[in-house]
Amino acid sequence: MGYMPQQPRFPENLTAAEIIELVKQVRGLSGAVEEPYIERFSLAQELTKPVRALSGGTRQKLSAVLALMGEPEILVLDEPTAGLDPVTAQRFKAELRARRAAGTTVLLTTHIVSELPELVDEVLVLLEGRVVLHEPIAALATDGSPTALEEALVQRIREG
Amino acid sequence: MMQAAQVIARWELRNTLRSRWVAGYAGAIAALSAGLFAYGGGIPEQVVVSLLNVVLLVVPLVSLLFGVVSVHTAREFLELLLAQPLRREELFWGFVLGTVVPVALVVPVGLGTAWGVAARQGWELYGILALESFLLSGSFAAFGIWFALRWEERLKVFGAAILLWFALSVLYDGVLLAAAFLLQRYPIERALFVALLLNPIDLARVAVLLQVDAAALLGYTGALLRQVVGSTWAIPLVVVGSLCWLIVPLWQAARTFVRKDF
Repeated sequence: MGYMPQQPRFPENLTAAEIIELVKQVRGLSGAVEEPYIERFSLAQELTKPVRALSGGTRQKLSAVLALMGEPEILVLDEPTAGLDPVTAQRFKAELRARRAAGTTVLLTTHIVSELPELVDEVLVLLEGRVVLHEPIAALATDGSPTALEEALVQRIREG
Repeated sequence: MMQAAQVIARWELRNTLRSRWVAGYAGAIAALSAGLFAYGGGIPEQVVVSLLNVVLLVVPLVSLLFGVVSVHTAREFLELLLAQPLRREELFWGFVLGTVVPVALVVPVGLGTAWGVAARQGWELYGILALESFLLSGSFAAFGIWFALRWEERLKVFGAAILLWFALSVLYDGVLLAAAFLLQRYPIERALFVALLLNPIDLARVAVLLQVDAAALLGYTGALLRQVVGSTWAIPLVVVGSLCWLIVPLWQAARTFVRKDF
């Protein structure tokens, strides 16, 4: 299982490369499984720096590499694109679409409704711990446009 | 099963050893020990008695805060690791080994270095101070970790930590002294003795002073301890007491960690 927490915080005195190694050991991964993602998110320059010297966006990229490497069957992502620069966010979403097509289960939370049509099949809305809506995305916005989806969601939530 | 714990411990250890906090603390202890040897006449007993007061005051406080802070800073990463294929027990013991052991070893190593250079004898005395400060430091770090896992509000955690430190290092002896004074007409020796065993800082003090053979410095409690258990068994008994003070908070922290809803 790959997991991206909302706050990407890691042991401050380890380098990015060491944290990747740690998670690989815990997950029993061997070989250069992280390489393609390091390249895709242009993280190679940052690998030898300690985490405390990394910016928020870079930490988020590291978090993405940790979750994606080794192609886990399930991905749990807590606001994955928050803090990512637009280019990396695009690449990350492209990766998620590829994974979805390959049969990976992706569970993600987001506040950015416009991201949803390209990323998910089903939408579930929680309001104060209660499920207020759980439907296939196609049923909410028939034309698949983000604005239609946003309007449909707001209307359904109001109706309760 | 312990393989994952080893992996976690190894990386966590590396993280702790690179921490500036730990480096500063170790440097201060080593410098203090060296200074006491250089300017304190160089007699091991004198150095130990001088250092003892610092150790008993500073080591518990530093260890407590270190325990609290290490959980707070590792919080999100612990959550990430909980989503990986390992057991909670493995993660907990790996984390504890990697954080508590290096901090608890600061005094043994810092003092040991100065001792090896300046004294080169009286290793039993070094041994007992090193052992007691290791146990004391481990105990308070475990309390810090436990508190930080137990309560979500950071203010509450720090409050509880400072309160524990103040109660055990300052209040406790005051209360005991007051009791000994007020109740001197009654046979309360055994009660006081038991009370002594209930405080880890007093245990460390007693163990070291017994080894220095300065039980007279302990006044009441030292004489009492000798009287009640005799010289041979006094130190082992005290060390066992200190060990209990390490095991109980560790066990509590482990229980809290395994059951915690992160």
